[in-house]
Amino acid sequence: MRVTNWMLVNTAIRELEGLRSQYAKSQKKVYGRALERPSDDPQRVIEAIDLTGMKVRLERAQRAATDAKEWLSIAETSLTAMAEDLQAVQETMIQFGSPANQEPTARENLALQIEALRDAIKREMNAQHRERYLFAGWATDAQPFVDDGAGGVEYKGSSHKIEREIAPGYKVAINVPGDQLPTDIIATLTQVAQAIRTGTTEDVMAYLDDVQAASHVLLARRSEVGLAYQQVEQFEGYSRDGLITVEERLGEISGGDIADAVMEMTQAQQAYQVALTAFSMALPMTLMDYMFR
Amino acid sequence: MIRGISSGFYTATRALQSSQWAIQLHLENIASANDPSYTRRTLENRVDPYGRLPEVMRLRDLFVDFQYRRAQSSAGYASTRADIMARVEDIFGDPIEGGLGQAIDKFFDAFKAVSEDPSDEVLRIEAIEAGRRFAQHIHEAMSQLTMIKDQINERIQGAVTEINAHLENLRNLNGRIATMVGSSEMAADLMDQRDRVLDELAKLTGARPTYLEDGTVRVMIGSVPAVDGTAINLLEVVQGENGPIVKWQDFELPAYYGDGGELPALLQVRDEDLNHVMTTVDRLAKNLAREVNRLHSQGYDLDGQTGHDFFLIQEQVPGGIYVHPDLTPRGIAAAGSADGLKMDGTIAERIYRLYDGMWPIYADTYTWEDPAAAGSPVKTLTLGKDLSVSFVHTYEDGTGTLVTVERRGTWSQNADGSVTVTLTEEWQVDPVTGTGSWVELSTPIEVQYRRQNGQLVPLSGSETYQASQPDLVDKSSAAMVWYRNLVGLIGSRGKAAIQDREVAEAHLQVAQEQRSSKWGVSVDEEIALMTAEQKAFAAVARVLTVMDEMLEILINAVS
Repeated sequence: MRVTNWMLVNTAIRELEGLRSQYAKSQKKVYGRALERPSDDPQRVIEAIDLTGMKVRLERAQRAATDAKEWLSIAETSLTAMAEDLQAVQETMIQFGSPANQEPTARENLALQIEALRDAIKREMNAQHRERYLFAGWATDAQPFVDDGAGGVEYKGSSHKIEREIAPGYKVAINVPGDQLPTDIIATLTQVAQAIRTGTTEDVMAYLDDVQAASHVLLARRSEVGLAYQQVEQFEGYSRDGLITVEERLGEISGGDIADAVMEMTQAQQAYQVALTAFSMALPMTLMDYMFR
Repeated sequence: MIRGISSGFYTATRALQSSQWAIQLHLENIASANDPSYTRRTLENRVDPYGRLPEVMRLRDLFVDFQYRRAQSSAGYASTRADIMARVEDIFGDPIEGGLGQAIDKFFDAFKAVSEDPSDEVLRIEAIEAGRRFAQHIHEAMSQLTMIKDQINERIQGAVTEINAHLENLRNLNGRIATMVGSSEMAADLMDQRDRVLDELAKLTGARPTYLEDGTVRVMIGSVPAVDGTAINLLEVVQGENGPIVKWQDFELPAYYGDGGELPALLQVRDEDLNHVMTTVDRLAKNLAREVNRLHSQGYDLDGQTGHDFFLIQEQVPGGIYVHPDLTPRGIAAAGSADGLKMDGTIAERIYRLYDGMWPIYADTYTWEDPAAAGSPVKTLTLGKDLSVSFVHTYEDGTGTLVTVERRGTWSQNADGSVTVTLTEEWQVDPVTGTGSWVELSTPIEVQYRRQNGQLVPLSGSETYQASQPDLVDKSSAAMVWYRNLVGLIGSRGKAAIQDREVAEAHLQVAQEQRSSKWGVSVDEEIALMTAEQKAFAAVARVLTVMDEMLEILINAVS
């Protein structure tokens, strides 16, 4: 086969072009830009799109979990306060059984205590988080518990639960609708105060069961909230782990191991430079160069 | 003796002239060493026994030319495809850190945020912005795709002009070469020029030349003789449905699509790949906008208003979706009821759920019955997974006899997510023989349905059927699935085009090397041959001197 000057030059250019593109490719890998266009690796690009979608969902789940924890934590605080207030009510009612508290002044003091605790429970029932009523269902912009004029309260909220998706496809309720709270306890406490003022010990003690029942309801709600909080924390951990896995995989797809990529780039650079030097030395000489030099 | 010496002088002079001529040719070869279209020339028939003059030969090999032009045609096709596909890929941006995919993700994410806290106006503003960004991405993609299409159309126009110019050039060269060959004049330069034009033509159209005895070529493009001697057929561009199409002038032939080269690649990419991408993007945008609007118009905004759209859709404009100009953040209909509950995000949540799939799965059994109607009709419509339809209608005919009508046909999903059910045959029993058979209906019955909330609601017709199973989402109808499939398709075709280009260029490289090996100029070789010719020239000169001396001696001896 005859080998012409054009063949030599062309082969050199082609080889150099191949080495240069290999160098450019390894450089992109070092910058974490191994996938810049779908044709770089269609399957990996599809995987990257799926992972990016998953990442958005996990990030959303994490934000939802943070928000859920905030709501649940405040709800739990309010429920705990209400339960403690009811505990204090029970203690006050038992104190009334003591003969020393049958005095009109003592009675009045105890009745005032009960009323103060009732008002505190009412306040907690209307507790707010970021200007939204906690126990109002979906009607968070209006006070859920309003006085009914007879010493009790009327629930004006809705029975809907506010939910947060704390993991893709998994939702948790972050509030307790007001109709699930022992609403009647407010009216009962008004009656207890009245009984303390004018009634007998038996009259007062007759309400003890109602108070205890309300306490149980509150504790049950608090347990539910606590359980939900625990679930949120657990799923938040899953989301965090999931996000790390997704980001790691995305990193692998788009760049891979940096040390490996740097090594590859260094090798490609050296190969390119060696080829450049070799070709520059070998190419220009022809018989004419020798003859007329 | 005198005659012998004269003959010797004549032969020596011819040899001297041949060497001089050969040296001249070597110099010409060296001077053109860097011209890739130059064909190395040598002097043949230097010492002809019949006294004919030596001839300048072009060292061309038709088989190598054929191989080269085939490779050139494939490379032209693959390279054009790869270039355009690369530009289409660029439109969809970085698949990881941007692009339409991320805009779709963010759009649905924004609605999720609104669903979780519908009273927050900032989240509503973000949802509107996410909608605008999505629409903007669609507009950007469609505008760039349209721009690529326009540029392809311009290139088609330019390619046809160039091809026609080459064909005319070939016809002229054919004429001149035929004249020169006929008069035994040297046409090497013209042949080089013609071969260069043939190479260009092969790259543009995959044209195949046939060399004729009179020195001309016949050039076939597809099945049409584009040039035959000095006869010529030209291409023309006429307006088609999807932009300009290419046809042969004065021929009643279908539009030209060719079988290799740049022009067929341009036509194919435009009418197949680009068209598919544009249709898919348009379909993705409008279906998503339609489904969002369908749900949004059922919802209630913060002021208790209902029935308004989120997107404005311009059906006639490719990718024509916009966030409705009248939509305000408070106007996002996130709530599912008119109660005005601030945390009601039911509709926003349902819009978010479109992320998993926009359309329901239709394959199911649906029933319709009305015990109160005459004959207590019961109808059952079964849409099979194999796209078959079975319809059974049972009623009492008034005499206490139950009549059953059975029909069958097919169903298909429409571009807007609805389905069209077509019943084509009915089961009929021959009253004489009692045997039954499927008989084609004279007019097929066609009804369009949309499945929602466990019902098959007719878009044309009146009977609403109950589904036997709860609604399931068809995951393949999710916007992200369409997007990833589109990106996968573009990526695969782009990669295939790049690989085809690499293969074609490798073939072209081999063919080029073969060409260069056959008739390329090696300066070393030319110098060596020229040195030999110089020696030959000197030797002949010496022979002439000897003969001159011999003649002198002879003359002196005679006188």
